[in-house]
Amino acid sequence: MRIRNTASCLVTLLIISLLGSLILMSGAIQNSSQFGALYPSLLLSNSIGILVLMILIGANIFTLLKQLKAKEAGARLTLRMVIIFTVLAVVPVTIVYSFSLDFLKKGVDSWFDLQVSDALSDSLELSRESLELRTRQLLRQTEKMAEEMSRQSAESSALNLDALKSPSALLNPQHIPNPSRLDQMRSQNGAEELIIMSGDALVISSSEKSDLVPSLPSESIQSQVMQGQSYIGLNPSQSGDLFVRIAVKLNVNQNSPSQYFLHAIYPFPSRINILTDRVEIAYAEYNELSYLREKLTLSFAMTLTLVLLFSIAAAVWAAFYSARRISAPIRDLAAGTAAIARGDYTKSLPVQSNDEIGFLVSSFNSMTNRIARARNQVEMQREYLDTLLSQLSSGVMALTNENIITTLNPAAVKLLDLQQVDYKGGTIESLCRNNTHLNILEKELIPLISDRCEDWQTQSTILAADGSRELIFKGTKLKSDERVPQDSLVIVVEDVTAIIQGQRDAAWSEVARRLAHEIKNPLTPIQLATERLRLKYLTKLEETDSKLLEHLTRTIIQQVETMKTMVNSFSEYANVPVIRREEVDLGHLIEDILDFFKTAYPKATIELEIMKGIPQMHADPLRLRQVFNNLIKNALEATSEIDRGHIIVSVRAVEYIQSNYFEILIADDGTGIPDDLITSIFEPYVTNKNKGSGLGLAIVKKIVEEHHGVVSLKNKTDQGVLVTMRFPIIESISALEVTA
Amino acid sequence: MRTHIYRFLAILSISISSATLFSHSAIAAPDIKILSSEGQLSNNILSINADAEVDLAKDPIEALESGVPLFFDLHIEILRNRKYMWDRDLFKTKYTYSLQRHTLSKKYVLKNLITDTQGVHDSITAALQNLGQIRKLAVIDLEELTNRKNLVIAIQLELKISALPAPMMPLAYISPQWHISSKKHKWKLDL
Repeated sequence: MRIRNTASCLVTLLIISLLGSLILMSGAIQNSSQFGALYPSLLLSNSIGILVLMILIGANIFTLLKQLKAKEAGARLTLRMVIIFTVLAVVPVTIVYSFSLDFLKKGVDSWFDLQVSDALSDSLELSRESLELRTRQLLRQTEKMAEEMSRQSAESSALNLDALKSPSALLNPQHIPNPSRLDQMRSQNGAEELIIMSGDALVISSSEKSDLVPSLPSESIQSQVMQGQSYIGLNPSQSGDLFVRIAVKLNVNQNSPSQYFLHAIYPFPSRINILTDRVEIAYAEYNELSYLREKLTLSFAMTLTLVLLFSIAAAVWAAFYSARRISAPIRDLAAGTAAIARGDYTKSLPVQSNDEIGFLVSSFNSMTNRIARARNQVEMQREYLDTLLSQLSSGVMALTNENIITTLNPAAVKLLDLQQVDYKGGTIESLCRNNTHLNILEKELIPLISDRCEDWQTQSTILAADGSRELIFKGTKLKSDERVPQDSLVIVVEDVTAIIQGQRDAAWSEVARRLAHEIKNPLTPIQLATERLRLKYLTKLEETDSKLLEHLTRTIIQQVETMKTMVNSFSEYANVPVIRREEVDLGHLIEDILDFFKTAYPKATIELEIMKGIPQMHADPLRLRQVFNNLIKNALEATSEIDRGHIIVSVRAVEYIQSNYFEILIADDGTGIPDDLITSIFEPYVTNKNKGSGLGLAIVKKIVEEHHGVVSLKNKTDQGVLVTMRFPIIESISALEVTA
Repeated sequence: MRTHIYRFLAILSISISSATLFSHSAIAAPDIKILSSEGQLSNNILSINADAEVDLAKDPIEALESGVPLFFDLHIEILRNRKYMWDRDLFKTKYTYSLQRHTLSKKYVLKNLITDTQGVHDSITAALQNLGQIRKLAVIDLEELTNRKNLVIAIQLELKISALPAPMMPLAYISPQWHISSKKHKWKLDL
């Protein structure tokens, strides 16, 4: 702002200087004696000043065009005002200029009248004629004097001019011409000077009215006279008076070796001098003025043009300045409105005047303040709601009538196991489609959402990274009002995995207990009775019956054994054993286990990858051994159908959601697990194998969870299964107990 | 838009350069040639004699014939020649001459405004010849100079545009016809 004001002051100063300079230049034109010397400098400085103004205007135009191109607020208004101001200023000035030029030319021309010019020429001619008459008369007088001198020279030795030229003439008084006679002749004829000169420019004798050195004729005059032509010339004197110079040849004795001439200067009477001087001055001035007419017109025109250019440049600059000043508040208002449209309510406009525009600006400011306050309140409410939602353990998801997710709290993100946090703006369909583990929701959840029932509830199982999750989705249709569009929906997601798991575990434990009690107890008497039956009757029966008995009793005993094993396994699964934690070198433990399996399954390729620097794990090594035995055995059994199966076991430390974990991956290239079993594969008696109790993976899951770990299983994209286990890395057993 | 501005600036700079070159060449071409020069010492008074050829263009002659007086400046400088540095100014003087037509007598009056002496000539040629004949023009009393070694005299004769009537000056400044000047004529003064 300050820079702009300084620039405006400088330009105003420039304009004032230019104006002063133009006034001086005008003075220089009118009075050359006073300002004449300054005229060129003034002309130059004015031209430069106007050029500077033009450049400033050019810069203003360039800036305005740039603003117009960028569609900046207020640019069009500024352009319109500049055009109006410029036209209003330029048109009258140009009209005045053209008329002034015309008047100027006519005015200057009117100074020169043909009659005046002719009169002056005539008066000059008249003066010349008059002077010529006088000079002819003087020439005749001079010629008479010359004749007289020539005659006397021939008759009298006193005027023996040749003798006067000899070096001894000065010593011989009789050869000296009678000065009084020469003076007398000069005086009688009214001459100023009379000089007798020889052809070789020697002054023989002279007579002057004053005591000054005689004014000698030039060489050209001398040579003209020596050729016999008398010289007559009208000359201006030092003082400005006219005088006549006449030179006439003297006809001396023909035997004379030298030639002589008489040189005379005659003044004009003072009255004639005054008159001729006036005529001369008047004519010379008129003539000079006449010559300067075109130049004068041109100079005036140049000055006038400079004034015009200056006026136009100053007017255009003033137009820019005024337009910018007037449009500034409107431009600010437009910019402020644009800012509000963008959502920026902090914009406050400067109130620069107390007029209507100032009132408009202050009203705008108070409006934006009120909007900003209201917006802040809304923001605060929104933040409060966000905080509330973020603190909830249940997931909350809000959908529009087009199923666009508008709210998705952190708990929902966590429960749905989403990697990319911000799903706002996308649809629920795209969310389910883009996340493989949520694909199942597309069938179970989307139809309910699309139906837009008032209240509904469904339970789904998703396979998250850390295992399957049982989620309950409760949907409620929101009542529509000004802020809530019609058919908006809020869905609350709850994780009931632990509850269901607990219920299942309790059920299975009860089953196990009952099985142990109800089934295991009768098995022993059955087995004993069968063995007794066998011992008593095997030898007594005939061979055919004996064989049959032996076959039947063996079958009963085997099945009882099988049932006992099954019940024992079930008891083992149902029991809650005491975990004996100690520091376990995970790599070493797995290596031991793998060595056993490598020997047992020589055709299989078993690889172990252990990350360096893995810390010791606090765990029950026997229980862990059982986990790895079950998993690796499963993997080997899965690959046994394929010749030369390939199993890779990786052990590493990873960071997951700001916590450190041991991560154990067991990958095989076996047959994989059918999709319909994948979500319930860790349940008891869920298996895809023909043999086995179906409790292996259930026990694995149980032991892993006893160690606060998670286990998951998924089919690889190419072939086989990938089992992932994660155990928290805990520094000490005490810390683990605290955590537990 | 930017291209137009660059084009305008280019044309402007070319015009300014051309005008500068033109005016420079006009000033640099002298119409007065100093043919010979000499210095004379008499009673410790240094005076100079010089012969110059003065040639006027059409416009100055037309102005003179129309009664506009022309003024000529004869610049005289006494310098000390130095071997490794530029010459040092010791003394500067200027003689101004006016040349004017006397309409009534149809004569041309050449006046030395410093010495207040004048000559009346029948033609412009004779007047200009007389202007070019510089005779016994007193310059300086050498008593004023303590050191008389390595003295150089420089003279330059030029038409004085600034003495023209104001309306003529703008055009005279830009017209080469009016830029009449001799080169600076230097010679060593042997005393």
